[in-house]
Amino acid sequence: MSRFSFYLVYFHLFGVLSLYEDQVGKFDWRKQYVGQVRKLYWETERSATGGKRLYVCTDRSVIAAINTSDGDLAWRKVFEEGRRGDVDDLVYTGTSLLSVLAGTRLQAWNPAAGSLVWETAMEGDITHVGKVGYIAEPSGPGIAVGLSSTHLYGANMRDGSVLWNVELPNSDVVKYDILQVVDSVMYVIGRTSGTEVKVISVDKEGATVSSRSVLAGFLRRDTRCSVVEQMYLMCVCPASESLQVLSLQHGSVFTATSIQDLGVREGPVKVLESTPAGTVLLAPGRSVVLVSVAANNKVTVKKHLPKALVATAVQLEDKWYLMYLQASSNEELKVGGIELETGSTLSELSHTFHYPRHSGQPELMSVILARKKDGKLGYRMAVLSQDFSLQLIHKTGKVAWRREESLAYTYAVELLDLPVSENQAKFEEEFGSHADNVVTMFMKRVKTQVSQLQTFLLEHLHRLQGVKQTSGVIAEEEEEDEEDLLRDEFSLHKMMVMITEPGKIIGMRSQNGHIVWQHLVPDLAPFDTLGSKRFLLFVQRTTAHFPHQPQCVVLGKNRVSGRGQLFAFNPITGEPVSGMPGEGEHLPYSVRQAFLLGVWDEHFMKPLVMMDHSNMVQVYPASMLGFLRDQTPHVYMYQADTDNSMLYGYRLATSGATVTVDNVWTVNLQNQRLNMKITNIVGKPANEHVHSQGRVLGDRTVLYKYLNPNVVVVTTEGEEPATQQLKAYPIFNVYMIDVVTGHMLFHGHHRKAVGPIHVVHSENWVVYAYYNQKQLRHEMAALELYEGKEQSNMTAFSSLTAPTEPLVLRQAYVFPLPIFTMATSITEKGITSKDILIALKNGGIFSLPKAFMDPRRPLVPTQETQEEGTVPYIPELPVHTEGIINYYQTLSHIRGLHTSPTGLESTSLVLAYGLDLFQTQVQPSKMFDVLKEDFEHWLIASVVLAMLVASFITQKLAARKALSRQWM
Amino acid sequence: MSFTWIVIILVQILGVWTETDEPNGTDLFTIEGKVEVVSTTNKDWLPDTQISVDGGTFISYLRGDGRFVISGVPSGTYMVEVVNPNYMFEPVRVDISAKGKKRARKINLMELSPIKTVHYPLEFRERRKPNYFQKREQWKITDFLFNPMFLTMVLPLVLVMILPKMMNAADPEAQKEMQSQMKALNDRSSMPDFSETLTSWLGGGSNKKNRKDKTK
Repeated sequence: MSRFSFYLVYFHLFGVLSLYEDQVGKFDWRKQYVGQVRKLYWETERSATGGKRLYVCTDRSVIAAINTSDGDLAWRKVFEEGRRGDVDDLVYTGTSLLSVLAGTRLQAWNPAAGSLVWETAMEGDITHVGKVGYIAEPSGPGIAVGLSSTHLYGANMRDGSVLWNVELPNSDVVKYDILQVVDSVMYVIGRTSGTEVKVISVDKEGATVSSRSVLAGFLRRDTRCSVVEQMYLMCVCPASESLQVLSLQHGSVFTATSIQDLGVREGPVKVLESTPAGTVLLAPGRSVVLVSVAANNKVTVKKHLPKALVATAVQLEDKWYLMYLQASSNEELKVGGIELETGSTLSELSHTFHYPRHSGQPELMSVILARKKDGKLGYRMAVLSQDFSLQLIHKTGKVAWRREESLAYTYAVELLDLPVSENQAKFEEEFGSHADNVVTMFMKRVKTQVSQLQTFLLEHLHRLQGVKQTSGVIAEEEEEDEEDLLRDEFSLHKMMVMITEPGKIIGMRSQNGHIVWQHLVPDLAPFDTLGSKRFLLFVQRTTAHFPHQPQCVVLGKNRVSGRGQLFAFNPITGEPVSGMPGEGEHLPYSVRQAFLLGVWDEHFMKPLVMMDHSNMVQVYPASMLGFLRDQTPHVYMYQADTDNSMLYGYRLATSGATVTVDNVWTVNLQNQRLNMKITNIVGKPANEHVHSQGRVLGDRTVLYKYLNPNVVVVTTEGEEPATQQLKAYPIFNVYMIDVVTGHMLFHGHHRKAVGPIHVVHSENWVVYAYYNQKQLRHEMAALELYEGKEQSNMTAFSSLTAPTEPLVLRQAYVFPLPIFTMATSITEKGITSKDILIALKNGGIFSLPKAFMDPRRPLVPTQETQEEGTVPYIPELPVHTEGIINYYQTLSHIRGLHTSPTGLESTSLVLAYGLDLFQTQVQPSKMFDVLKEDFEHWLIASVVLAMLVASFITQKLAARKALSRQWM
Repeated sequence: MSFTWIVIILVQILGVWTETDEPNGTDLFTIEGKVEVVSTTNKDWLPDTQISVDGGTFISYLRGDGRFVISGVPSGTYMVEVVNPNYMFEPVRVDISAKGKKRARKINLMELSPIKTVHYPLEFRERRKPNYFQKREQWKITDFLFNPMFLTMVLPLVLVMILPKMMNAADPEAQKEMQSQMKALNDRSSMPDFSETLTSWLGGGSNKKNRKDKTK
């Protein structure tokens, strides 16, 4: 009990970090995404919400409804990460949404509210891609039909009860992946690679009507088959460049049509969509063909659009129209519409609209047509693009909204200070130069101040003019963007640079999440290391070096060749640096290791050093090779072979004109018996400052921190094989290695514990989280390294003359909740205490003061430990909802947390990315450097004023009293 | 003797349940339950509520009646949570044996041994609303008045200023005594001067008048 009260006292001492309710949305924002859209349906007009929504399923395990008016999410359902949550298929029946997840979970959703109506399990293999269809019954509720790897299920659409199921023959060899419902007959199509196609038809009572096997020797792995015009199976054979067609009802043999016969260029053809009016094919060289199957199963061309990028066939009032997009001019696309029956072009459907270059190619379009009051046709069109964006275009050719879904695939983030204004920069220049004499410096000062006055006046003049011009709608929209990209007082507003999966680079304002610039590098693909995708993003030159422009460089691999792909750009404007092509630089080598050198040249540029597959050292920009050569004897690097759990340390060496590496050390973390694999390699943040060199103990001595910047934490995971007495159990190791010398500072071993291990490494401490399989709980462990009571080197740390073995303190705690990832807050000078930010799997981001994960927490508190200010040890770490910094704005599938210092020592910016984006500020030691926003100016002013008045009045009164006393 | 028997039985029970920790076989089972929010009749919480097993390894949503079924679960031990940003629920651990026997128990992170079973199919009821925010300190007059510093200042003031007056009003004798004391003080403090004599004379005059009135 006494310990508990202690605990409470300390808890208050370290401050409950939490928001006030009126601060909601003041310095935080959340943006929700859905991911790359796979299937898209327009809501029917007669439904409850009146045709104002798009229903989508995406490859990020999401089913969502998007409002067509503004692009916001009406509702969103997020499923499990990994195979179990994959949405294989989605069908909209007009009153209900049917989905199949992971090939085995058949679900029905209420489209208006987004609530689950029912879920039914299907037997089958989880890796098999399931399909769903439905049979509408005018009288009854209808039947939902689900196809798993082994069975075809029919379920009552109202409650999900299984009406019948059909076991499919030879499901171990035949892959059943197509389901087609035509007039209450279901066709299930399976195939066996290289031999035959199986067509099974089932009626709505669940009885097998017919089962046929058709020889199909052309089937390969890359053969794409789909049902076209509801009654033919069309397979596209890239090898023979032909289309194979089979009639579903009674066909017994495939009929081939050569692609050349369609009058298009040779190459792979892709089926975009199929409707009763025909099938839209995307032919090589970006031309679109509408084909239909003739009576003899031959494919014939109905319409050829040689310039179109994508097209779709739409029905309105029994007439079919073909809508297409084609490139019009720079950054513009043209919409066109053709009535299929007559072949006439409809002028009311033809518009041009703005289509930015960074969207890449349009990949799919979906159109809904409507008859306007004046009898003309109107349309709404959704376009999916290469950069995963989804945009909606209105009847007049206006872009209503765009959703940048690539942001759900952010793999690298960097926050940069905005540049100072030109005047400010000139001021700073004054302090930089020492060559000038007093007179010129004085002149300079006068000049800058005159120009400052000038800009001030101009600004006001512009503002006055701006008031007059606020008539245009566009001005209103872009009002926010007109705000200059200049640093604010405390540098709280930053430029957020994000690199996403499709190679799209986005620059965003950190204060509100508005996109400033975008650039698409289509060939840039992420590396796949340690089980996660990542880009390497480096800041070569920050904004602090006016007039030099800031520069960032992103390194990934080429989508096609797998070699390096590099792109250097100005992070404030998003423009490529001079000499850099817009599509990036395709490197002639694959990159094994890359890092930014810690020193800059006379232009304040830090070179990017890369090691290629032949252990040669490459530099970007290449002109800095000479600079690197001067540094070579002092530059060390390391490389990990994750599969064989080997670490190699290198020193850079010059040989002739080139730079190579010498192997200095090798560490083998492998244990053949246990099959250990490296799962984490975590260094310290490069931009970190440590303010305090040690900590003062209760007896007034100082324990010095072991502040070696070259320490890297490596974790390896494996399994102890089963013996006669014991079952196999998982184990993992934690190592701390000085990567300059290869010296191992610490080795920890955990039995019956599994990952994923999340490691935070900062200053002189490491915190890692894992799952204890024996005790069935999540745990966290903290390590702290100290030199001891003497400090070996006061000025700078060198691994080569490192002190003897550091003192490693450790302690473990129970953490009650499962977590996604962890990070630590970072501040400008490192004076502020640290918070551990923990992304919880229930969608919260929890901030826990580091003091709770201090290995010096005593089991029994004494006078001395109280003096030191440590919290008594309690196994369980406190999780309280006040510490959840995103309060009720829960986040899904958080992949990373990025923290960044600001100009205020107390404040650190936090960005959580994953399916959603969330940005906020944390103040681990509360806001000690500026007045709180709830500082009561009025109260204090009124109290002071009241005091003045009171003293004045009492003075008068006292004088009167003294007088009257005199009269007594 | 009975003690050893208990130990043996305990070992057997534990043995049975530790077996279930390892998933063996390919049989898949379901976890079923129901979620209730009794503090509101509004059903808005339903679509936002997620059932999350082992932090998202298995996820399910609620049907219109608050029920849920998670299918395709292999045997093992799982933590079942109800996730809703506006209500808090207590998580439960569910054990599924290799034969499909299910048991639900309270989560005790510190020790596994004393097992407190709860009802299966699971029943979740909201515990409380989470508090994400700090209360903003507002300036109130009562805070000021009941501040100990204020009280320590005011109490002596009361004692010094008001108490004598109250005494004065209460007791005319005491008043007189006080007045005489005051007079004596005044006399001692200052020499009788013109104004002093004038006032005493004026005061004396009025007294005389009063006396005259009384005699009438």
